Amino acid sequence: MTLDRLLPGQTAIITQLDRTDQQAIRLCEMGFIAGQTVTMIRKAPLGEPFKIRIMNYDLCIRKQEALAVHVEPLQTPVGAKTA
Amino acid sequence: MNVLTAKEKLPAKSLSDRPLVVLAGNPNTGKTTVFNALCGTRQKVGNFPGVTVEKKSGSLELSKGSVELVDLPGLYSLNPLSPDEQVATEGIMGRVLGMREPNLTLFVLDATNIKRNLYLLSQVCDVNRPTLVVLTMTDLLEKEGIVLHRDQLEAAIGLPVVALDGRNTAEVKKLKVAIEAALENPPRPRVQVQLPNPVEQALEKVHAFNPALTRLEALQLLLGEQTLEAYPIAMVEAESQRRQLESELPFKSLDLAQIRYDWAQTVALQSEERILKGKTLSQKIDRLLLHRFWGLIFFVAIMFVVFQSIYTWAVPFMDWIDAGFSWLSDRASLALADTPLLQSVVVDGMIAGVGSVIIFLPQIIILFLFVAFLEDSGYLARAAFLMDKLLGWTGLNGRAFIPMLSSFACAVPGIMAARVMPDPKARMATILVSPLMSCSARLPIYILIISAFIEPHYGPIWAAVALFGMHALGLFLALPIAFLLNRKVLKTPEMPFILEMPPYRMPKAFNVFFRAFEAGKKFTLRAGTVIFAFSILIWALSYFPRPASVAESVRQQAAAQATPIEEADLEQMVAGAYLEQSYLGRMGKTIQPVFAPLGFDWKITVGILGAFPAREVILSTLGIIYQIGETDETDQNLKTRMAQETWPDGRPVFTPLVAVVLMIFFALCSQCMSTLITVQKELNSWKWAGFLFSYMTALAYVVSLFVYQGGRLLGWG
Repeated sequence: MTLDRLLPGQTAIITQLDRTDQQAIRLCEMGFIAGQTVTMIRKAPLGEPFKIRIMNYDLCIRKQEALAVHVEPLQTPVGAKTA
Repeated sequence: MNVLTAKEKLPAKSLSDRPLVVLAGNPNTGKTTVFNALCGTRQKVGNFPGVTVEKKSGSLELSKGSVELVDLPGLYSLNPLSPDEQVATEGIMGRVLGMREPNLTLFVLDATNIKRNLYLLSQVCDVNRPTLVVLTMTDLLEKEGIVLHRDQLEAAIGLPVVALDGRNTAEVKKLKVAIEAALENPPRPRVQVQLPNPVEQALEKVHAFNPALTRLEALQLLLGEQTLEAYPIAMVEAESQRRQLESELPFKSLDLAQIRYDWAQTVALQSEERILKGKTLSQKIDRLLLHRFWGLIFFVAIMFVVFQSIYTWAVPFMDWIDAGFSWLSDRASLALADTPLLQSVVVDGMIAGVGSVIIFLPQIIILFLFVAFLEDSGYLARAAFLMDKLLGWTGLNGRAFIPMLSSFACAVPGIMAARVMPDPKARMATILVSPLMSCSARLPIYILIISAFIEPHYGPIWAAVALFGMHALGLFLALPIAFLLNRKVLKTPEMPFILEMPPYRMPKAFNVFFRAFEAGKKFTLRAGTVIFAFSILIWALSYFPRPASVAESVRQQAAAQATPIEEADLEQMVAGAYLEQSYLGRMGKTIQPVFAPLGFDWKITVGILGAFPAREVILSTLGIIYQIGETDETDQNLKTRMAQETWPDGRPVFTPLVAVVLMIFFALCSQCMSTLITVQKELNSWKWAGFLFSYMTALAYVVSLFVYQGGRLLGWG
């Protein structure tokens, strides 16, 4: 599944980025690297953008960008803490 | 001044011979704090040549002399996406036009977020220039449950690492010593990231064609990320190497990023320990401030405070400025009483013109205090997060709300605040729609017209509706116009909206105040130059020609009347008569047919023409035309006089419909010289300032025409 489908509080492992354009490269440079854990912290009141935690910092991305990130959700209960 | 002669005169050490040190690093790492700690107030803000990217440079005093320090804009990667990042990249590489190659790069590294910072450092090391690492945010480590071993970090990256907490003067001294040592004995970075063999070999071949290429440039050529016109042969070689590499080992930018992050991960494992803690304070605050209900309430409350304070806190300061200019103009009037022409050009032209601009200074400073505080505290990113969806469809993004909202108080600081937007086209679109927001200078006109023509006819509720409607109108039109500008005119590309949300931090007072001071200084300098010239032009149009016969005939007519007229009233009549036959008055009469379909007579037309430099001037122009002297929006005389005004056939000029149309015209028309000059400076283009003027004025005309003719068809007014 893709990053935008995660529920708030859910954590996942990035499996791959399926685009290679400038925006995807920038996501990579911001830490969206295969093998990293990523947490969907919350979604904005109107559904997007998303507040995401990766590599111990927070950033905000739109659904458009999140669609490029493929993830494998971890079997942790919603709201659990991850490093 | 000619640089050569300057050098001849200063054989010892001219300023341009000083060593150059650049500050580089990720955004939100406390770079500005490092810069301010090193330079204090010995700094100036300008632009990098040819682009509207802010360049902060300062003088750093070391024991052996002074050094020039340039604060490059923050960046995430040397593969730039925005003009800010482009300039920063070129600054690190020493390729900025008119700027020397740096002797030393100070790399600012946020101790609480080293992995992502190290990614950029690995790129900077591939530029192979002397680099010194400054570790910031060390005071927050404990709170975030991180233990960072500075010496292990130093060993892992092979560069000197100096910690700096901006408040600690001992550490500032230590950093200065380290900079001095690094200038004397430059620390060369090593290649941090070894790439797979076929890639290294291909790099070597590209490099062989031009040894001047840095490793980073060769990599960018090989991956096709950049083209470098300066190295045509190397570019051809890179192209063929890339094709060969593709068959052997596909290696893309994403793979390179992965390898760089692997390195960053290794360094992080060697030098930091993270203790798992519960939710950080920032996360707890965000649970409230980004909440889908309470977050929005808080946002509205914050914006209300900002807006309200620009409206109200500025008033006493504006009154002082107003009083100061009145005093100045009284003194000048007295001193120049013998030479009426000179008196008028100084008092009505220069002092009145510059005064009408400087009056905005308090609003600018107050807004920038808020912007700097909100940005440095981390809230600006949160507000952008909340607002993004609302503005996204127009091609703008969440960051545009600050300039747009501030413009409700005054478009000038609003346009300057558009610097928070990194994408140049989205920023341009924001700048071009912000002046549609109903600024505080429009308020006196609304109040005059509503209290004279709406409230007496329709009651206080409709008066409030009219006032609210005037404020909603600009916003209502701005969003679709932004959409059209982005999609049709500027062809703004779909930009990724990737925005870091830094932890909440208490802003440093010096940083906040200095930014407000700089914004004010910049604006004042502008008022002193272009605006000054325009003021004199408009004055001249309303003053000349000035035959003495006009005054004489007015006085003769007055003398012929049965009831004697007071001298003050007589002077007003003379002023009105002069204005009527001045170039401006004649223009008003000539152009009036253009405004006739909107229901405006020649007097309103003169008022509109005279108000192009500053819309609120219409009050004083109407005062002169209707011969009652200095007025403000609460003036009963002016209201009565306007209500009595008739067409030659006896119909009243100001029907409620004409009153509404006049307000709409003022709501949408571009009548502010300060705004146009600010746009010209910010976009570095007269063309776009002209475009802004034309489209707003056309919009005002068309909408007013539509409302007037539509209203008449419906039998209103």
